[in-house]
Order: sequence, then structure tokens, then C-alpha cells
Amino acid sequence: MTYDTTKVRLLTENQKDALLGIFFAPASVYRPMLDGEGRWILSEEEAGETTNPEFLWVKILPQINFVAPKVDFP
Amino acid sequence: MTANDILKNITAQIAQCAGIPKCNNWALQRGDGAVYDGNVADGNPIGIDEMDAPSGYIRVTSEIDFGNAGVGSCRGVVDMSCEFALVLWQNTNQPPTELLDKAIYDIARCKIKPSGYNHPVIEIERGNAFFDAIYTEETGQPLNTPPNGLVLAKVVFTVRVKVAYCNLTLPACYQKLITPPFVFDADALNLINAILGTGATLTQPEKLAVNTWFVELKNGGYYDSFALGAVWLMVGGTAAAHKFNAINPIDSDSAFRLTFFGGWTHSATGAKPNGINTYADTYFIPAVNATPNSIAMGYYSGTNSAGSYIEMGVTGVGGYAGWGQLCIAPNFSGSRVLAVNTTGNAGGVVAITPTGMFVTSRNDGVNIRLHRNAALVASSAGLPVSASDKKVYVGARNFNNISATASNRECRAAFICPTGLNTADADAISQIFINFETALGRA
Repeated sequence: MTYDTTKVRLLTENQKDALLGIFFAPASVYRPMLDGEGRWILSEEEAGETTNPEFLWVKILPQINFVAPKVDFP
Repeated sequence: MTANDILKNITAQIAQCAGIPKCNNWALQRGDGAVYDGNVADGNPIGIDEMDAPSGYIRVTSEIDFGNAGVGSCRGVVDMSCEFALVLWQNTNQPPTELLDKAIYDIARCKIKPSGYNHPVIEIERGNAFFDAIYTEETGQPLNTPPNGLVLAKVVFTVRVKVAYCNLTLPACYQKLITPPFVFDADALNLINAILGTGATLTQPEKLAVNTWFVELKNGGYYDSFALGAVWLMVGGTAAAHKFNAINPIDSDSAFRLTFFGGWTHSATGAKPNGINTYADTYFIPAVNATPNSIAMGYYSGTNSAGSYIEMGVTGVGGYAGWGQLCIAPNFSGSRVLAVNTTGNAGGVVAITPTGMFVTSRNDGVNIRLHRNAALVASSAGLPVSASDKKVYVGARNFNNISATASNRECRAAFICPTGLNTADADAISQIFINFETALGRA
């Protein structure tokens, strides 16, 4: 695993489900992903650009260090 | 002074003017007061599309300098008439004289205003319909729509001065070349209008760069190669502007409009993925939308970074990652990896500086080539296999329908050409993209 100092926002399973397929800006869709430690995360950019009152809670999600998933090129 | 003396004076003045532009403070105005000044750089472009748009009339004003000698004789002038023509043509050559003659139309009104002792101002007014028939190609035939491409325009005034008491007509022709009047390519205009329709703004240099990109692609004979593909020029500074396929700027999946997922940063320099959770879905499926074993992709990277990044691509048929995959990765953890519908790739153990215009292509069913900045940098043979049945992603690779290996290298342009490009064409097209980025100050 690659440890990074990049900050991301930690999501619960339910929070991840709530964001799937949701546009947070024109042509821009939330993309929760599993990091290298199996945690659902959201990027700082997505949290920062959110203006929809229904999803403002992403701005107060806890910050964690991003752990990049292991990647092999086949 | 006799009438003949007056006539001699005026004839002498006009003879002195022959061949010399004598229209000073020249301007075109439309009914709403906007000024066509022929100066593209000042952000107030002169364009045919604007000329035929406004309501009201087109007003042409100019001072005509008759010189100083014998000016007092002009008191004898009791009537003046004018002919006016606006002639447009599509190349930088002067139009033939006979074309000018064909295009000259009688004006509706011509007013002479005294403005200083020897500088009368001529005002010519004409209704909108005048310009519906004035567009003229080299054939001399009027057009109902503006021609594509760069257009030069020349305004010709023919002033006839009648001296009442000798009843003679003295023609004098004054000309002014507008440099450089401009007409946007119709497809460039489609893209520009689509971008502006999102609320984004484009500077005049950005509009001109977009236009030049289209013109160069068409002049090179490459535009048709992209007709069923997609190009994203990443101008306008927002996701809504960057999403459009320049070839078909319609907001639909079938038009290969991008949808951005994750934390992209959009700005005037392009669309920067965050290297964490980003990708853009192109909706382009090689097995459906491209020629088997013949396809090309391009990505202009603006970021020099190291990491396990893939700029764009998709894995192979079914669940298998390797066979049939398509990708560009000039620096993937220190190696370069490029693949085009094959079991092999044009990779190598040495990475390439991951900035600039990258093109990977295969058009002969065997050889995979990688180009950087319009030069071939790697090539290898690969066994042809079926093309991928999944959508190509930009800013990452579609790994069996899950985005992986998100890049953090800013995308300043990208394309998918549904037929492969040979070496010369890949280099030529790369250069067109480089010219585009250079014009925008992003190269």
C-alpha cells in the first residue's frame, strides 16, 4: 500500500450509497471509492464544490489521510 | 473661374488620389451602434455573422480627402451620388476586377456631410437585405450564407461628383481593405456556442484558437477521420464547458459527451484529475464505435508527475485486463505503457516525461506506436485481438468497469479516433493539438 498525506473525507456505507449517481455540479458526479485500507472515501474537491443543501453534510465529514490502493499493470 | 477651370481642378485632385487610399477615419456601424473597426485583437471582432445579425441599417462612414488645391471650387458641386460595395472572398488574393464590378450595388441613400473645409463625410445607409446577397465567393455568385474560413473584405466607394453648370460626372474610386475580417468555421462556431450556452465564457484568443484547430484539421484532411469519434478540447474553464465533444457538441451520451466523476479541478488550463478517485466517462466503446484493430487515442498532459497513473484507457474483452486493452500511460511507476487492442504494447522500461501531446495508434493490425509531441518514440508488434467491450475513460483507465489508476496529470485535450492513424498522420494531428495549446498559452 502507498501511504499518502493527501487528505480525503471518510464515508460510511450509508453515506456512500446516498452519494452514488448524484451530480454535485453540472457534468460532475460524486464518486465514492474504496481506498487501500478498504474505507469509503470522497475527495476534498467534491466536498468543496458541493452547494446542494441536501448534501452539505459532506463538508463536515472527517478528514483522513488517503491510502492509495495497490495497482498492478497487467 | 470658368466651369472648365473647376473641372480641371477637380480632375487634377482626383488624379493625384489614384491608387492611394483616401478614406480616413473609416468605420462600419450597424443600426444598434456597434462599430466594426476591423481590429480583431481589441475584442470587438468584425465577423460576417455579426454583420447580418443586427436590426436596422448598416452605416458606412468615411472622410474623403480631396486635398487642398482648388478646394474652393467645390462650392460649385450641387449633387453627388455614390455606389457602394462590400466584397468578400475566401483567400488572401485580391479578387479579380470583374468580381468587384459584379458585386457593386447601387446604394439606397448617400449623404454628403460637410465636415471641415475639404473633408466631406459620406454616409451610406442600406437595409439588412443588402447583405443577404452580397456574400461572394471567387465564382462571383452571391451566397445566402457566409462562406467558411478566413475571409477578406473590401469596401469600395465610387463617388460621382456632378458639377451642375457643366453637367459632367467625375468618377473617383476609394478603397479600404479591412484586415483581417473574420468568419468562424461553422463547426467551431457550434462548439463555441455550445460552451457559451452553459454560461461559461471564452476569450477572443480562445475562440480563435478553437477556430484554428478546426481549420487546420480540415485543411489537413483529418476532420473526417474524427467524424465518428470524439475530441475534447477542454476550453471554457468549467466541467459543463469541458464535457463537449468538439466534433459533435451535443449533451448526450451517444454524442460522447464526458461525464466527470470524482474530484476534478476545472480551469482555463484544462481539467485536472486528482489522482485519487477521478475519471471521465466517454461512453465510447471500442468494440462498438471503432474499427477492429484500428484505432487511435490522444491525451495532452499538462502535469509532470511520477506515480502509477494511466491517462486514459480501458481494459480488454470480458473480465480480462490485458487482451484488447487500450491505454496511454507515458510514465506508469517508471515505465511507459501504451496498448491498442492487443496482447502486447508499445511499452518500455524507461518512462517518458509525461507532459505534452501523446498519441497511441495502430492502423495496420499489427504495430502499436507511441508518439510524443509529434514524433514517434516507441513501436512494437502485437497480436490482434477483439476490441474492448467497455467504455473508454479519460483521466484514468476503465478496469473492467471500475475506474482505476486515476491520473493527476491535467488533461488539456484528448481524443479517440475510431480508425487508426499512420505515423505521418499521427504526427501531423499531434502538431495541430500542439498549435492549439500554444495558441492558448498552455503548451
